[in-house]
Amino acid sequence: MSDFLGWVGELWRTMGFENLVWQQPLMWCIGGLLIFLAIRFEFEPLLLIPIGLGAIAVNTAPELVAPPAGDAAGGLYHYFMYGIHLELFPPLIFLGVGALTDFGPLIAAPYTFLLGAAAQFGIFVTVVGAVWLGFTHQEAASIGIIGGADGPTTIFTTAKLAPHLLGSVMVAAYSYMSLVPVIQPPIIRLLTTKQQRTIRMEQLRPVSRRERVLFAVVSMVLCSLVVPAAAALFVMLMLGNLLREALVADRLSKAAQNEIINIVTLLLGTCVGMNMHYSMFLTWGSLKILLLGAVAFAFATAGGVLLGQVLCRLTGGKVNPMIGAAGVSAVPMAARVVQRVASAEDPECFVLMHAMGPNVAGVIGTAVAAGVLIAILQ
Amino acid sequence: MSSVLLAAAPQNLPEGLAGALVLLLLGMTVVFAVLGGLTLLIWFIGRVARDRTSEAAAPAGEVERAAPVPAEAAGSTGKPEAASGARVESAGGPFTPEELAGVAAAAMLEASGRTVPAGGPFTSAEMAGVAAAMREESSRSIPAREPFSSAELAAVGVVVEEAVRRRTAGMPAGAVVEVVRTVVESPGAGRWGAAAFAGRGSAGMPVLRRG
Repeated sequence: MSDFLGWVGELWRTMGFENLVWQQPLMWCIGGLLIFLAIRFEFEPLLLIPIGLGAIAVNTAPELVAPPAGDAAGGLYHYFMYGIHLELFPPLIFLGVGALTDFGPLIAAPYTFLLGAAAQFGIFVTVVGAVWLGFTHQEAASIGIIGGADGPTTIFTTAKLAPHLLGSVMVAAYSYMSLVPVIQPPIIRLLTTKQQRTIRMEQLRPVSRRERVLFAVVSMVLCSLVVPAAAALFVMLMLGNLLREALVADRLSKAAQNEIINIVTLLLGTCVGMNMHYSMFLTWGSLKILLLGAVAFAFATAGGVLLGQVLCRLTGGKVNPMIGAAGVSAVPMAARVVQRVASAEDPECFVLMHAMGPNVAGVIGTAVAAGVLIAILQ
Repeated sequence: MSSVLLAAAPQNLPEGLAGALVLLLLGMTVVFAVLGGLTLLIWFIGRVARDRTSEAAAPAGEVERAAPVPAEAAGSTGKPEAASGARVESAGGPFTPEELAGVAAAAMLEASGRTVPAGGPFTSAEMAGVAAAMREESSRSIPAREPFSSAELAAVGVVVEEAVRRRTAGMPAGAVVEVVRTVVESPGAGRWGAAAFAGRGSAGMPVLRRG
């Protein structure tokens, strides 16, 4: 009998119950909340489901991310995590993003690049705010980049500058990205008049294949020259886009648009969730990061709209200033939000294609901003 | 160039808020410089490309509107892109009113589980693809689907969504009203679009079948 009880005791000790602490169930709830938001409200489900499950898993069985010890191999996600730490996943996601992105609206209206630039204001304002709240410059840069609304770039920057913040920063980034339809409209309405919101813009000109191909190559060269710290992102983004626009490499283009980005999204999502161990996530710093993330999004939207106002005045009212709000690079959600606000005011006002210009410019702008921060702070 | 960027930054970034303000000024300057440079470059490339296009088109005279492209001329998949700007006038995004009406009708048919006929310059399979994308588009970003880019699909998605949302008493509002009116006024295609919006199926369409 005593042998049996001893055996049961041994078995019990191999289970996770003995060392269970109150923070773990709390993290299960947080992970469950992310999954609930993804399923119930369809908030970024492709990301929040793997992130939520990863968070639950790592707070149930931390061995999943354990490094190798002696002859024992490390946990499965210890190895997957190299995709983040070696910065493999973000450029691969950018390959898919490039293959999915139509830069036509941006090429047809190049001035919208400036709106994409203005929306990066949120990043740098948040850096100032984060430093004011006591974060180091490197940590502040990782938090500020949330304002770019670009998950892969946020991971890329945070993995280089403040890897210990990866979990909190990623949750904040993707949570706010999914809340773009909630965050942006009030700011847009605050900074524009009803008359401005109903400005109908001229139809964009068609863009030739030659222009599209040249754009991919030229922008890749220019951006990589100026900010080589983010060259991996530019190269992969434009490689994907070139495959798409060349029209002769459909097989590769489709692989980038589907299989590659899907597989990497799965791994990336769960790896981000695995970074949400309670010891790293349940801190006051995480709360501050969530707060600063909202600030970053608000200022990014405001920066774009305010430059939109300038362009509106300069062009004698031909530019709808709302399209500046799409300068945050949540593609195409931010552009759709702009269209919805326009439709609410005037059902015949179509600015979606015009908003797509700053929207995709925002992707490039955020990568440039990340490159600047990495170049100076790393 | 990177050395220029790094040279512009102070050798030792000041501590605290002063350093953050330096980052703000330097960062925004570089972002505007790079994207401003790209603006000029792309504007220049576009201008050269347009000049060449207009030179090539000059002997043929002013073309107000591109003609429908036969499947053979457009390549095996019949991509509209192969017609180099076949879509000129538009009721929403890059689409003509007829295309939009066709797509809107296709979305309605597809949603009700019926076969989507060919419409405008598009094959039945292409139309079904677009219609299926409409459903995906309702809550998240949509992938590009031949022959459409994701931006084009998003543009149509908003129009269709609006049409469906506002379809009260059989009368959609906004641009879609114009689209439907246009289609209704043209024989054949009109019957199809109107029938689809009224939920009565294909009504003998398609008369615009390609190839």
